[in-house]
Amino acid sequence: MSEHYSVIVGLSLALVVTSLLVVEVRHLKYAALAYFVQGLLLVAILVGYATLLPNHALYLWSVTVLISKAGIIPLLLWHYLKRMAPMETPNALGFGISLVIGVAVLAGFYWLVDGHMTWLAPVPQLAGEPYGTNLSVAFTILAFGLYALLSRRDTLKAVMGVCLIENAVHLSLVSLAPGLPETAMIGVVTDVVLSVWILLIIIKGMYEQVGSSDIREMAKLWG
Amino acid sequence: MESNSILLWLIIIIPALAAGLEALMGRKRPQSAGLAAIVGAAITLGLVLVLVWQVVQGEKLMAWSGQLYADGLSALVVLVISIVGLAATVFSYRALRGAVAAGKTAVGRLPLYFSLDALFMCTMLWASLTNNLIMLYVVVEATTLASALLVTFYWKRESLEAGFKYLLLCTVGITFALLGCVLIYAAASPYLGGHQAMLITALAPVVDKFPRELTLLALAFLVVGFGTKAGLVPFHSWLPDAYSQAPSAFAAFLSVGIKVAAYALARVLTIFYPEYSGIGLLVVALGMVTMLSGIVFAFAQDDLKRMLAFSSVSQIGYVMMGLGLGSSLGYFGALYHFLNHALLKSMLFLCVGALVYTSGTTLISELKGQKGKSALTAICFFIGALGIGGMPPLNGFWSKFTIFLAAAQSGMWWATGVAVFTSLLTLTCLVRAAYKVFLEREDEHEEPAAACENTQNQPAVALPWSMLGMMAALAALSVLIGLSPNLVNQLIAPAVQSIMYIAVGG
Repeated sequence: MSEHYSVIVGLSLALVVTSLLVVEVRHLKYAALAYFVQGLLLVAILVGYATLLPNHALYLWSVTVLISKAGIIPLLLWHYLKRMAPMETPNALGFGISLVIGVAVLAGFYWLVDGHMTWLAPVPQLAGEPYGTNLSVAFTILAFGLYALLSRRDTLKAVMGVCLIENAVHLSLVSLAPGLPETAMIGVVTDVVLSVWILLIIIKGMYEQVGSSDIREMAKLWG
Repeated sequence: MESNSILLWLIIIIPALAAGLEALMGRKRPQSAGLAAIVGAAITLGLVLVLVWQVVQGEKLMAWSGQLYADGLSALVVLVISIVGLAATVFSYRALRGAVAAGKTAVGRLPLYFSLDALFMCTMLWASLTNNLIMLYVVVEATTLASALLVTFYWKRESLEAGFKYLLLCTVGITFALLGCVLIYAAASPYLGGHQAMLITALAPVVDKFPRELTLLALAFLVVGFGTKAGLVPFHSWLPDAYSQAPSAFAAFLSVGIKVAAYALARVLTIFYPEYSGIGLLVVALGMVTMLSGIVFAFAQDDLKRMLAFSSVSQIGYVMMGLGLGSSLGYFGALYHFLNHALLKSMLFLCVGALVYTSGTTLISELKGQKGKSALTAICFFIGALGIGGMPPLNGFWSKFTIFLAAAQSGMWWATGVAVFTSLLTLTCLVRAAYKVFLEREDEHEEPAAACENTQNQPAVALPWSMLGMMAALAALSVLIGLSPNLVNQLIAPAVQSIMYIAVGG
């Protein structure tokens, strides 16, 4: 049993690394690719939990994730990225400092969440393995997504930050609400796909009018 | 008395059908766009009136094995949504055609407007009728999705920025609400089982068994999440942009959107009041900060719509304060104000829509001294300004007065003080704007050229009766509600009861 756990722990770590890549890689197409890989990893993790726990509902979840987060959303990102500038607008921090802070956010939050598991786990057994790592990773990626939203100037990167946050929430559901009915699940996923799509439509509209996906270029409203 | 009713399904499905019809018919006949949405909204209002009648008689309606649920509280909210929805949709019919004539948009885009307008109505009604914790998140987010492309409707740089901010902030914010809901669900499912734990009405009896830290975290997530969508300071920054960039007629409807989020927050949060008394205090404090900073920002605005938007931020603070007090008087004041403010503010936005129709601008400095404004618009605007400012005997006075009393009764004199002070500021701010726009004569020396240019671009036109009628109807309704306490009591008392009923675990 324990080697199965270590596979899942390994996949979770890979999930953290892909999050770092999504945010820090400045070439937007490669960042989107990293997001696609993260979607696949998420599917693998769900299948892993489905066989390990065993919880057959999670197989259905993994199909939902495969369609939405390793299918529709990466395709949408790809479709809109092709029509815009290939490189991200440089952020205020610069590549090196941003990378260091990003790693610090990831490590710091993992440590913080792992140490306060009782805050998140409604029953004690959820704090132990294999749920504990899952929850820690989910909340770490959530915090990292927020960091991405706050530190990036590129609107497309902001959308990828939102995608990371949604992935994190999805991951946390495995531990917190594995009994969630499929209808509720489909509702949640539909919301995510539609919100990403509409955000991309709006960004493309701005790109056509302003010629850049830089948030500062379009900021005219204030107060 | 609980009974199953198909009414709940119909109230959600009819606006959805109207949205579908608009989208289908719009391809072939864009010039008739809006008719299906208006008919749909009218039928919905009729059904809602039946629902309200049944609920006022003491019934509780259910459907979909308890997933949809209507008690006094939801009845009040769906009533507000359907009244404002109908008024705003009828108003839009001519207002949007005015925008087409002014070259702001194309006829081909009108079906999109009315289709999304009907969809927005559908999602808001669903959000107020759902009893499912996770679906609550799903539909509140759906209201944002349905309205985002209406905020960007004119497809200008500013409106795109506003839409982007709106969608991004509300999506991220509401994701926290989802986390909060999921944590509560996770805590409840060991006691209630997977299916029951999703029903909001089933939660109250087991709330005291939840782990304390987890619950506090979940409640914080809920306040941040629904608070962002409700426009609470400091999560309000999307709101003035979205309101001011959306077409005025839609801004009137959008202003109900924040109230649905406030409803969602009230629905879930009040369950925890008996166990976690500190939460109420937090909500009162947030409400206080929101009301005061909203009105301070409102003073600085030259754009009428931005000013009204900041005033909305401020007024949602009153609703929150009343809800946070946790007493039945507080709930009464909050829900009464909820009703009053929804009617008055959407009426004010319709007045701005009328001004745009006749004068082509929303800037106070440009509207000042311009000719061609209708007297009825002025009267409605003054009723709105005085009502929201809390001038007796208008409805806004009674609801605010109830909130002051409730705060004083709970011993929070500081909160009463801030609320009274804010009310005076609101009155000054709105009446000053109304005076400038409608009564002040232009100074001879102040660049009359700019104003003339504008009037030339937009020749003074008479307002169509459908637009005037909707403004007048909302104004009349507000006055009526202010003058007949019996009507108000019949509507709001069941809503207050249903909050108390759920909170004590009935």
